[in-house]
Amino acid sequence: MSLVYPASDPGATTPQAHVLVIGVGRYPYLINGGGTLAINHFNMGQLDSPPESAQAMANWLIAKSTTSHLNPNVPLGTVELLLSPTTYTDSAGSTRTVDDATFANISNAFETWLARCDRNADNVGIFYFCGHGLERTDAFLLASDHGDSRYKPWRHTIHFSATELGVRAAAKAKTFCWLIDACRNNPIDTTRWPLIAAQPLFNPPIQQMPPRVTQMLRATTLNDVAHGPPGGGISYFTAALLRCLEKLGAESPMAGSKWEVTTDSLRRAMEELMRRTPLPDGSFGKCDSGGSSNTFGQPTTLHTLPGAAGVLVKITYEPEAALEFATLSAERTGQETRSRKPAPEPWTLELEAAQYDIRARFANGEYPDKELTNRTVAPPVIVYPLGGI
Amino acid sequence: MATPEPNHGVLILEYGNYPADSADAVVPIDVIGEDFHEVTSAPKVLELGKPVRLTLEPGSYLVRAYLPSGEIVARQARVEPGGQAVVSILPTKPSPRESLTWAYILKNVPDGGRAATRSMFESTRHVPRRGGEVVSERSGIEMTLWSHAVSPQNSWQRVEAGLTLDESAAPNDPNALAEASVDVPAGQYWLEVRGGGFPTRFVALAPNGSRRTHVLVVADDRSEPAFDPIDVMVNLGNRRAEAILSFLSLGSLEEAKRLGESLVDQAETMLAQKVADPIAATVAGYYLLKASALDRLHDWTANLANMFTWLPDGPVIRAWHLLRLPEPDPKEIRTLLVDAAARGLPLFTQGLRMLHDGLGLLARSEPDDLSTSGALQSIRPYTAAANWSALTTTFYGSDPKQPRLPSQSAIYELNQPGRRPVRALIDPKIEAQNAGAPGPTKEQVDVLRCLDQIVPSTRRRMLESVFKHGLTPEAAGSELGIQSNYVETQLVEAMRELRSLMSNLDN
Repeated sequence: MSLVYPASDPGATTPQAHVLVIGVGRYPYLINGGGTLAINHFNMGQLDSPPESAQAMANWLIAKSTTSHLNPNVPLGTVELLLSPTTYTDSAGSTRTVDDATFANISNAFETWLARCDRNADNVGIFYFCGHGLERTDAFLLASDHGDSRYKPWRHTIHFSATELGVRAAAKAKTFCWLIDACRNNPIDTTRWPLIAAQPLFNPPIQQMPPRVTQMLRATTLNDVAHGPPGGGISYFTAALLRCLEKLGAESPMAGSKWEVTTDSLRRAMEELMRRTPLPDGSFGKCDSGGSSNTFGQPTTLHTLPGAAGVLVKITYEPEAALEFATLSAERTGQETRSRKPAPEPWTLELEAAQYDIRARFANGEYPDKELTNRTVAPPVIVYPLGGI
Repeated sequence: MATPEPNHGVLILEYGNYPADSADAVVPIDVIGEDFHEVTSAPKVLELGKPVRLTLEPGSYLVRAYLPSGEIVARQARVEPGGQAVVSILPTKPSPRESLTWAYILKNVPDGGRAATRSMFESTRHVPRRGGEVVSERSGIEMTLWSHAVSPQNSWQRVEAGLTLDESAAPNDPNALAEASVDVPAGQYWLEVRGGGFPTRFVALAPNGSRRTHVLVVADDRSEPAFDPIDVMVNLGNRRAEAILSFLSLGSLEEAKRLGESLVDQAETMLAQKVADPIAATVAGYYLLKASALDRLHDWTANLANMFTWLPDGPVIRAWHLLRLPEPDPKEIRTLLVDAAARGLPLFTQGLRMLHDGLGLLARSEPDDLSTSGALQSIRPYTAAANWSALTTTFYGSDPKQPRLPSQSAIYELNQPGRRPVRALIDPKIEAQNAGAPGPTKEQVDVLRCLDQIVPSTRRRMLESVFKHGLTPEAAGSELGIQSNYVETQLVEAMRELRSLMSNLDN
């Protein structure tokens, strides 16, 4: 019911990427959910963004990872999708029903996904979750039936930290990406809730932990909330993630003739793109990739780009006070020149990877004009200071 | 000096500005040609004060340096036939003086003085001083050195001597709130940092051999968590170890990998020879576990656990090493982790997380084992109040035996004798005034200033939307992109905190 790519699992044992996508917007036992209000509701309610975000993620993977953004060595194997509400609209606009993102369904889908990941050590496991989250020392993700029992209020809450640790400890695939688009605040009163009896999706016995590449990207930092656009739409984190997968998250130096998005380059690009993402409350977005879960080996290639990589560029002037008098420009031979009028902050823009002439001009000679010619603009992120160098 | 080939040129790469203090500082780099491919002859790491000469084909070369703060410094140079080009890597913000270079190169002290002006409680400096305490007259930041021993009875003692205040950084950097140096012998020593309107916290200090350990307190709007706008930087005395820890903490694993091998060489030799530099060895241990480089861990993790019995990190590293080996023995791992918890809190946040995770893993697989659950119970109050983004273990609270998260501990702290000036900022009438008055009153602005110090930034922004801009919670929620009932809850919670505070102050 929740397998959305391909139509059925061929059971391939060659290296593949297997994806589990979960988007939870409807919570019957939270505020305005229609059910009996959970005793551990913490004033959380219904969410518009997660089902849209999860569908966008699944659709991007199905449409692009199988055509333009291929990974020839580790192609997309399966995409499992759970939504609440359960209506799924694919890239072609067709709708169907997928499994509700209840704890039991998530648990079943997780086991299926993990078993697929275990088929080959070179498989890549991608776990994406968008919905309510909480964090107090450990991270918890809320399935749609969170709080359905007054007597076991945490039985349908995912102990995400323990789940991830279990996978780190006992899964066979060498690479896992955890993409968590959820809040990490802590409204849980310690006196009332000294223990949070949430359930891990995987609880292996103690066994040897093999080497592994684990890349965790989270939509906010500890004690803070994740954001979606007012009135619904794809969340800021997921929107940034899709842009990085599409074009902005490539690695340099290049390893071959094509730009590759790797676990590590994706992290760099996401951190910078989220820093540049304005939120409705006037602050800027965050992407947290720190924490204990990330072990490393050689970064894993997720896919290649069909054309030029995009680069997150910042152009500034030393001293920075000069910027409010400076007209900045970036010129690439044969292309339209990009420019910016004087403004107090550094110029953040996106360019295609190439050589550029970068200039600062001062109309009234407040500071010296500067020009950096034939500068290499390389992904995923680059900062060019003008002036005092 | 080698002569370049006739049709080649020379690219010189150099790094640093205060070589004397940071002689072992290193920075990962990459050098990229015009074709976007890596120059394979270029080094992966640049050492401070040790320029590198590269003979290259003519062309333009991009040099990127990855600083432990997450900052990427990019420089480019054109190499002409027979010519010589120099690329200098410097942090974007220079250190105010030589002895602080470690902080400014390695940790990217923030620009500007905006955050520093947020200190509110400068009038509290008349609080009687306790023995061994120092206070920054400029910022009101107070520091006290503590020692911790598990025997007898998990005792925390103030240390009367060994802490010296140094205010010389502050005039040159408005973000530097306080600086101190500390004698830290082998053992568990903690620095209590409080006052200045910031949440009180206890920061683990690393022994630094015969040298004093430097501590720099800086205002940092970018600090995590968001309710804590200062950063307490502790000098470990080993630049590579500090850089690796920073990279590991940031998730910048590729950069950590480039620096890790040299530190491992250093630590391996020291541990094999039983030379006492447990800090470098500990960081090397964490690095190797991350890198899954088991062939290099050998038995020296056992040495680390056994030789430095005051250091909880040793058995944590040993336990996780054993977890990586075939057929790990749960009993041995349990003994190590329980022993680590009995020693106290690990020196490094990395270790605290691994202790918590390891005990959790055991507790879930052996739920009836009392020693595991007891150990988990003993560290739980500290993990619940920890600052997980700090490099050395840091927990919030005004009493080392009663750790609390800032939203609770700040209220507690404001209730302490000597905090009464804050009374003037908090007026219970604001709740009634807010009912029909969209504009901010002076009291509301003052309360917001107060809340700015004690509550998470998101809640503050909600309160601003409601108090300052007169929005309904629903409108505020819509504007902020979050649920309106969450805004309401936060408002209620904030007002409850304020009422509780008022009530306590009145009693």
